[in-house]
Amino acid sequence: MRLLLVEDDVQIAESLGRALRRAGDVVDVYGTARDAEQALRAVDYAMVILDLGLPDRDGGALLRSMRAQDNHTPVLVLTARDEMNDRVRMLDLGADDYMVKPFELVELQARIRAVARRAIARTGGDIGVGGLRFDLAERRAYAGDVALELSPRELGVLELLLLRRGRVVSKAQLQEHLCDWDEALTDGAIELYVHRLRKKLEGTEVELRTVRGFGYLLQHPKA
Amino acid sequence: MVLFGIGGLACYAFAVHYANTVYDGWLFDSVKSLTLVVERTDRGVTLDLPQSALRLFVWDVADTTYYRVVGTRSGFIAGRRDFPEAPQDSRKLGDYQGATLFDSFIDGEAVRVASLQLPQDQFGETVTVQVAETKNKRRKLAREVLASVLLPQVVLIGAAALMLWFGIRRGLAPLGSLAERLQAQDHRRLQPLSGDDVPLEVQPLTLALNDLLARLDSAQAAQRRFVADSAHQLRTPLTSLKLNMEQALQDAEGAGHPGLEEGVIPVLRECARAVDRVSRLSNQLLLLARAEPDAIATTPFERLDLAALARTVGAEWVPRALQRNIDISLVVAGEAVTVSGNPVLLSEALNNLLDNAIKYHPGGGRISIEVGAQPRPSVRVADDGPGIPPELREQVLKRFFRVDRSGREGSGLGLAIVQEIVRAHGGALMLGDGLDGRGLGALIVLP
Repeated sequence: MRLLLVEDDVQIAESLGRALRRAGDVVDVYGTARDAEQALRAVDYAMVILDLGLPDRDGGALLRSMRAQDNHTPVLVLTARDEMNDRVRMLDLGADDYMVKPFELVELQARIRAVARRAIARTGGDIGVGGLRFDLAERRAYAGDVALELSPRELGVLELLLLRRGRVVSKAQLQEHLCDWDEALTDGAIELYVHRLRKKLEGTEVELRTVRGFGYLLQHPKA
Repeated sequence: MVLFGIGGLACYAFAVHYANTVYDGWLFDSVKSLTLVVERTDRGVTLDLPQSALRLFVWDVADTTYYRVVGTRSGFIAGRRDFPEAPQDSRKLGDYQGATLFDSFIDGEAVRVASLQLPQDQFGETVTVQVAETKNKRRKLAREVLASVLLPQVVLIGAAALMLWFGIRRGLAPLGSLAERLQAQDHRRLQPLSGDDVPLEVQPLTLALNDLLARLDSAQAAQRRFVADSAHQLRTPLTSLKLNMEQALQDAEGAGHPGLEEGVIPVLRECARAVDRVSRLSNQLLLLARAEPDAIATTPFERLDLAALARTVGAEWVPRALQRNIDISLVVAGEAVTVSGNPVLLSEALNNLLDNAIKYHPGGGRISIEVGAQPRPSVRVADDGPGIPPELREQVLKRFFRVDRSGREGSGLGLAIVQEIVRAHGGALMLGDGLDGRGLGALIVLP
């Protein structure tokens, strides 16, 4: 992926850039909002990692002008601020995710991958984990090379769990993902789809866990 | 009381003097009237007075009257033979229109004596007429005068004392309420005292106190801001440090060099853990500064669903719990549990409890988050981990107190912060047993 890192602190910019490059990404680093805007006009980045405290302009303002110019490149915000207001404001402005310094590199990389997956899902593509592959364009799931026989609802459940893999997906979120406005699925129905999906995933490397009171979680034990 | 005593004595002296003056006049009159009946002839001196008249003269309801008439030539003439003589000391003698007055005793009883010497007659005889009277009337009059003067004085003094007492009490009452309000102040949230109901005389005091409170409060606020700012400023360098640390560790581990495994890698791991601890500590300090009452006062509370908050916060911890093979679950009694509060701080309180529960758990057990609505909104995080001995549960709520000193990452601030946040919401944090009589159960009850 080609990433744009907008961070004015030289030390963080260098170490983060180095870490991301090591993971196989191409990273452009800029320290001001002006430089970042120029870069955004020239290159179609897969994602922007944006620090809020920039010397020439607030990162939030940069994000707002990006969205105003119909630039929908995914944005992950980094900041030393963690007030609720900031968090809500960032997501309102169209940030895809948000991390408070100091963060774990592993966590940041996981978030970057999640944001990227969601972006891929928006455009149609492949997402997968541990031998399990979900072709978003075709809307088919494969275990290795074998296509899984899944109903549309089961596919929907798998899609959301894959997009948020490693994190809890609640029944309410599944319901939202599966249903139109006028439809409603009971908790029992969702439990049934999950139960069937779990059966069909037996034999793959992924594990579909139930977390009582919270929902479901798809994990790859070896990852 | 001393003044009253002195006043009483002076009063008594005055009353005695007054009574003496009045009755001395009467005594003089008696002597004078007796002299009028002294008949002086060449045969001697006689008293020209019938016995009945004499009885009348001597008779009195209150006092006994004695008299004696003596002459230089005739000797004893009439009256009582045994009569006190005038004292030699002239200071003890009184004078009333030519009569000599003095105090003495007859038959052991105190008497007042008036003695009048008649001028020498043509027969060369000097006659002295003496009248003595017991002092009952005088004492009675003195007592009456004293009473008539002292009684109103007693009433007056009593009334004055009462008024003084009430006056002082009323006057000092504002000081009492001032003291109460000072006592009731929360040291972390000093507020000026209102001066409305304080009398004018005390207002300089309240103004000075308010000035002091304001300076104290701003000093405290400055200190808290300093803590918050320092913690905040630490974040950027800590981020850089963390990133480099992790990278160095990854590089070393990825190099596959056997020498590194025993050399630099354990050191790097230790450093990475230390950096984590510092990051955590600075986060907690920042949170603590934010949970302080004056910081809370600037962020209004909002209505929120405790169950939804527990679900959102808890969900973040599920992966970590599963990683350690801990079965984590959420139990919500009923539907929405509405409370009024600050969502960021309440989330952090729950984060701290869950962090503790997972961090100190040996793995392979259970953690349960229970949200209740009755009797009051509550959320409980219970585990079957090592727990905290009952005798230490009070102490773990103190800042920087740690049960576990084995070096596991922890700031010693976690539970103190939870307590601070819960208190700021008017609630209570209670530590008890966890699941199956083991572990720790931390219960937050909100109003």
